[in-house]
Amino acid sequence: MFNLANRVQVLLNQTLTAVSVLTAAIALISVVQLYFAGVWSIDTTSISNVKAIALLKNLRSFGALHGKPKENSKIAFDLSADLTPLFHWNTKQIFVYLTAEYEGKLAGLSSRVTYWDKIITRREDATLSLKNARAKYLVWDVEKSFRGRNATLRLEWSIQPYVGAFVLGETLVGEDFAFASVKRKS
Amino acid sequence: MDSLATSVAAIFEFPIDFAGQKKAHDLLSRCLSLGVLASIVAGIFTNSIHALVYTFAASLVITFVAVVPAWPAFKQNPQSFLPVKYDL
Amino acid sequence: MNLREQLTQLLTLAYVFLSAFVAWKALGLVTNSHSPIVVVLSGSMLPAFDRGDILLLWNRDQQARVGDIVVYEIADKSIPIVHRVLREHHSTEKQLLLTKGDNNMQDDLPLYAKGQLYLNQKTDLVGTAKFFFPKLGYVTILLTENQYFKFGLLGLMGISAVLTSE
Repeated sequence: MFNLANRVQVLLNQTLTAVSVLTAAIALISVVQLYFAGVWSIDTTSISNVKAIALLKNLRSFGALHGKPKENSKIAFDLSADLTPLFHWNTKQIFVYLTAEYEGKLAGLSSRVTYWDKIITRREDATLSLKNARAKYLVWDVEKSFRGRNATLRLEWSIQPYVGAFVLGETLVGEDFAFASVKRKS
Repeated sequence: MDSLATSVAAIFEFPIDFAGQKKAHDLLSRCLSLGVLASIVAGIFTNSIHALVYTFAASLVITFVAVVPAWPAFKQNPQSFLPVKYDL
Repeated sequence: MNLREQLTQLLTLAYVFLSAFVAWKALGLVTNSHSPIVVVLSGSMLPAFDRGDILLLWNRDQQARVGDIVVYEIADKSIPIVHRVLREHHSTEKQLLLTKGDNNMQDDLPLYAKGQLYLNQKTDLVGTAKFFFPKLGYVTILLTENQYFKFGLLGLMGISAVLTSE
């Protein structure tokens, strides 16, 4: 502390410690706030009017390999959700996504695929109300075909903090639908 | 070369005496801790993380101004050295 | 300055570098990832991540979740890619993933190796991002990409080394 350079050095060191303490405090307080806002038990979501379509695609970017066409799935749906509890002081954005979970051929095989997602950056935009929305992505399976299996649609979310840990969760609503079988070539 | 470097360094030294050093260090720790607490409180009450960042930046500036320059308050107890004696 | 002083200075410097190295390797062991701290280099995950943001990775998850942000490397290329898991297919032993950057129009299939349709969770992933710190890594980006910054920093270090005798 005896000369200028030394004082600046000590200040910088203590500032580093202070910033680490601040970071830890923010990260911890945010998670506690989320817990008290009950974000892991949001049941105000509603997914309905699900229509599934099956298409055959020939491009590699749709999963077709070695010239064999691949069965792709697409859905249309109605969605209404209120995700405002997820916004707090440390929320930079929310990534919301609609997933379908279905079983595989053998026991223990399972898949989860995303049909639609959205980035929400403001609390005002956190109430969703979609009618006959179309899926953003075409989905193909690791197997050759979906075989008309049943799947459960869920709305999941992921909070991106300004600083701290990522938090993921699902809303407490699941809507079942069946994959369509191929009717027409594309 | 070495003496040139030391004399250039001496211009930027701005020393303070030992009692002042202790005062400066205490002031530094207390200012920063207060800044951290104030930032967290400001952030929670305004529900905005930007409030926290600005409050902390302000407390940093205040701490810097209070501790880094060699204020006269830090030079109140100068070290009294013995007079130079030649013993031949 | 005599030889002993100079050697002592060198030893102190070596201590600093070695302890940083040991801390890095220890973090890699704890997280089971060979690169536990990643700096975001591209804008493919905007608005969530911008260049310079720092991610702390964890590689001990049994399986990845859809929505997780993962860092992966394609077989021969050493550039780590930070994207989000779009789809997953798993059995009890293996998990296949398809990823996509939030800011990209399409998924990562064009980025994978020839003939590769999915990422293997066990072998291709460097880790899952668990912790985020904004903008701190911008210094490393400036160091590697900006010439003026590199020389300016070296110049500053040189001046401070000459002016301080310790």
